[in-house]
Amino acid sequence: MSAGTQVLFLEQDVDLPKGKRLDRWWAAQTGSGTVYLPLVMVDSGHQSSSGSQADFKVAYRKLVDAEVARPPRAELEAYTRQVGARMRIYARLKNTAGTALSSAINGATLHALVWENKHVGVTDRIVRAAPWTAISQEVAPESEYSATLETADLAGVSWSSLHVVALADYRPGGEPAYDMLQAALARPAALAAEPTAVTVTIEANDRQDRSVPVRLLGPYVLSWTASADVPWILASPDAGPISAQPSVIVAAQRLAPGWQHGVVTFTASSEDGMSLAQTVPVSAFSGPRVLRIGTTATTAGSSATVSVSLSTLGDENAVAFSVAFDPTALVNPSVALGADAGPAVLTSDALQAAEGRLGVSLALPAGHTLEQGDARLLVISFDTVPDAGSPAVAVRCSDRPVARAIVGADGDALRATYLDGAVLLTGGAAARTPRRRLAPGGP
Amino acid sequence: MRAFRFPVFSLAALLIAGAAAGQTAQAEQADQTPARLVVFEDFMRPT
Repeated sequence: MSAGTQVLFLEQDVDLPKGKRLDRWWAAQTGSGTVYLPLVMVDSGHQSSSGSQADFKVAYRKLVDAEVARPPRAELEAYTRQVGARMRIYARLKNTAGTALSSAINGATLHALVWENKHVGVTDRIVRAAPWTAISQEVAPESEYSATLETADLAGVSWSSLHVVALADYRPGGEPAYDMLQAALARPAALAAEPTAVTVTIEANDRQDRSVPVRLLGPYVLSWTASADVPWILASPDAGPISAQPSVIVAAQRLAPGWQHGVVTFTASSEDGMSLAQTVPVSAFSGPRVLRIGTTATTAGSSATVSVSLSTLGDENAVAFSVAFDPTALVNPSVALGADAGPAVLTSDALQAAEGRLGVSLALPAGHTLEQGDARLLVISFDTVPDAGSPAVAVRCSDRPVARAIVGADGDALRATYLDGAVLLTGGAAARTPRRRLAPGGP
Repeated sequence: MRAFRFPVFSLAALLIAGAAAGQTAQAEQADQTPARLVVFEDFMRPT
């Protein structure tokens, strides 16, 4: 079965059939003569049966399984709301059948089955209404069709127990029997946005705005406008039909350092009286992304440990750079992960260490990022040469053998500032060999 | 509409049909292929 495969079982009173549904059962019958209850059809008559079965469960499962295995031939979404004593249904269909649809060409029809969860007949569900409309305009392959259906006044029903499924059917290949293209449970009419919240981080020196696409979902009759409560958030476009999808734009140059928060409010309305709103919280962080090689002091001739830290914005997935140093002063470099490197995998290239070059790369698993803040990424250790000469040996960021790069979770190169460090040698071990003073007696 | 005739319809059969009508089966989310929502319609006469 495919994702989310569902089967919906509905009962109708055969003496009070609603809409065009029983017609679909008859259209599927090829023979003539007497038929017996119950009359059963699946997917508008693509499968059907009648009368007593040796084993109902087996017989009906066979009908259902045959349909479950078939892909849909349309995309369908539906929303519903109560208007007075009526149920109004908004449906939007995308034709993926590979053939044009219309009532004239192939009997294409849009139905809505309104059922109540109540034991009225034999089961705990009963269809109360089944409004329908012929798809009168031709719907070309891959194009869309939308329509509003409405029931007559519904009396004696519990509105909280009412549900709606929209479905579209047609007669493929000129056959008398109908086939269902797709069905969709109708959701209560509302405006929704995906994602439900937006968070962006922008490097302090990056002047490029960030654009985050937002998908607005709701009945096809809606039109919307967008407004933000802070000047650094914009929506583009800022108004349109529900089919026009906006982007939330964070204006980089209007951000203050650190975190800031705002809200975009999408307000939607329809000519038939709907008024809906949906807010999308937006959070933005502006700050410098700085990779910093530390400075350490040690005695010449002993080992030196230099830390490498990164001021992160929280979107970094991988870091690569090289270290350049004086190979006459610093030798035998080795690299280890720092305390905040988490599950990162470290790779180092020390093939050019004798020339004073060391390459380092550190990568988190796919989809992971460093936490926002100051991260202790690496520790680089050297042996220092006793008679190096200079008291300060620079440890610089460079691009050989590994070019500088910080990569985000989406694979984009991220802007950063790189700061050099140093090893300060406080004296040669050979020159400052401690003199042992011999004194009589023990300690 | 064409005529149809109703036979003796056993209570057991109705119960089985009723059990089927009272549930919505949902498969595991195996992949992201759009799925068909299958609609089973049962035209019956209350007994």
